[in-house]
Amino acid sequence: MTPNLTRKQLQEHIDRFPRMQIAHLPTPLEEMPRLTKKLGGPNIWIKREDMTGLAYGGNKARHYEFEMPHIADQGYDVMINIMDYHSNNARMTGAAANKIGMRYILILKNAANRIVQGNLLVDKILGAELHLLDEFQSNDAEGYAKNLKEQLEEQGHKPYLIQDHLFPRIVGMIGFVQAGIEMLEQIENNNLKNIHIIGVAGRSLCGLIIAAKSMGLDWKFTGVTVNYDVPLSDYIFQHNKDIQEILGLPVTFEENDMQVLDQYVGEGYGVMTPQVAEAIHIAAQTDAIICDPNYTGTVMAALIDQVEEGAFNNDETIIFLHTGGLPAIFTFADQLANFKA
Amino acid sequence: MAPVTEQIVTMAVTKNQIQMALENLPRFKLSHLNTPLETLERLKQDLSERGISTPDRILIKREDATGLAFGGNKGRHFEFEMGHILEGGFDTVININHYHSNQARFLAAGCAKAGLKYHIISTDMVTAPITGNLLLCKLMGAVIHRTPAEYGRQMAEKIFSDVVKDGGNPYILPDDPFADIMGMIGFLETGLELEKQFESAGIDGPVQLWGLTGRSIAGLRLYAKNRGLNWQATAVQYSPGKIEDFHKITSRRSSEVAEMFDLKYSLNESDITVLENYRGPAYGEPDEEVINAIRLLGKTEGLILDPNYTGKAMSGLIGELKTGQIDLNETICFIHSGGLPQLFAHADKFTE
Repeated sequence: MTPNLTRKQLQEHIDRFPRMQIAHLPTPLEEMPRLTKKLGGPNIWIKREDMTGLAYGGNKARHYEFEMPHIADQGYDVMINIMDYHSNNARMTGAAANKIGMRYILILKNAANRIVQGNLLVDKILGAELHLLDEFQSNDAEGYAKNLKEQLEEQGHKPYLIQDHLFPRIVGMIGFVQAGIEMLEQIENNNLKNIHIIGVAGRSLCGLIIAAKSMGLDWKFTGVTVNYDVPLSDYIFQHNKDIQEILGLPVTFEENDMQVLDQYVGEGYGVMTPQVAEAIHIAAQTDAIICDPNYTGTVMAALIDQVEEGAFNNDETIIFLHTGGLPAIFTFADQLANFKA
Repeated sequence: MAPVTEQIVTMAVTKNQIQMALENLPRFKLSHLNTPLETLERLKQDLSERGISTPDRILIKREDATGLAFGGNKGRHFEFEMGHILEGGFDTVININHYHSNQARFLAAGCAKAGLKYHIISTDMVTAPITGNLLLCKLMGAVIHRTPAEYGRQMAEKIFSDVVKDGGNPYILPDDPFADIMGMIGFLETGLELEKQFESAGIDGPVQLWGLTGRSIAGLRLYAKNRGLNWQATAVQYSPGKIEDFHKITSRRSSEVAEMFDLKYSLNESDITVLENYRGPAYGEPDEEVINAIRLLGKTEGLILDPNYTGKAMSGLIGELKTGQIDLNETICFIHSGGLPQLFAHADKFTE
């Protein structure tokens, strides 16, 4: 069932959440004319979520506009986050927490004895209280976090362990329902037709799907898998009911809302394939767009390959969703510096 | 007889005149302009809690948010520079700049977007890892030549003659007088943006622009002087050098820009206050106060500064606030000129 809300009606569903200004919005939607020409397929545009302006930018700055007031309003005084060494979420949550003066404890998995570079360097500069776990400890990071949380409670604190709560899992989609409204206006202003959005198979794309389905738009979606460990269906489709309740929208996900491409993962999350390294160079050398090795580079590799395979119709407008992640470039500096196409 | 204030207004150049003059220049779109102006409320609060008096308003102009390959002020300048290069019909651009250079990166981005071949002669620190700006240059297709500074010139000439031999039409950036002033021109436009942003924020009192000893703050000060605005300017040095040399070169450049834009005033040494106590041991070397300033802005505002430039400017601002050197009736407007990739070339300074 398609609700066909106007954008104003959809906006009202978002406006009932408390919100603070964190991101630079709207982010630009711009052409990639030289990549389009080089590939000789459909017109390629890019949604610049790397330009949200929060500590090297990225899509998640949108989410925290809702998440931070949600947490602060309930009287929590310290946030605990469990993330991976490469995590962008770890960095951006830290920056957003600092914006409201919230204490931030970051438990990073597989991070002991790793070089301080990329996101981890920024985590440090943001003053996150870091717990760098080795591989053994990482097996039970949740237990580690639970202990920490209990200690804090004994000291009289009210800690918010992000992984214990539902709202942080949904909020990324709320942020991207907002992005969908924003994109509709930009798409109309640029008179773009046959919209096909390609991005990381994850919550951001799901938020756009909710927006498109709610407003009765015929946008198509391709999601690129970047991490085998977290199948899309596990963390998106199981939240159908939550999304309906929290957002108050009668939208449900179906498998065919998003075409999912699994074949670009390579050896898994955090390992850059030669194809991704090449895609990073191509985007940089055509339109001076910088992609990262873990997420957007993989999507760019998929985009290039799919155009070359003729998988898109040439009358489509492809929109590459640049979700940010830029600090990770420098974690892979050696590999990128030595890469030859 | 008209009141005195009106006389001043009629003498000043109008916004429209500056706008029109900018529009007459060739230009190649690279960046996302009208960068945000934000407040540093939590920094102010932190300083007050430590007994450091601050003006009511500390603002930040987010020139790091221009969106071109990690952003920065030069995303703006190079729109004019690339317009100028393309008008000249060149097909290859040769640049000489330091290992840490942000400018090298912006020119790489401009050349990539315009489809021009780009050679960067990266001087000094020839064994330092390819990361930060230099890595981004590489990704954007720059041909990188690394050499001690004294051979940079020679190398540029060699590349120039090789390109000519192959039938190309090369351009050496540091040889072009326009490249020396376009940074100031770009910031005339920032002046237009800021004046509008101040108006909508209801700021009409004295403003202290806060930045570095370069062309950007000079461009803003030149704008303000010719518009008759009460904006003063403080520039923090980021490398050793004589203050009088900065004034001399700024005065010359501002005269050239004033002539080009038909402006009544150029800059003299009384227009910009230069601070020499915060530059650290050398260019590209932050002292402890710079590292502390970077950490403080990260902690209080979730905002990132770089160790080579903006970290030094912020160290200067905090230092002057601590020692009571700042007129508390002024609005401080800190110019965040970007430079963010180079943080990653200084990772070892933050390992604790």
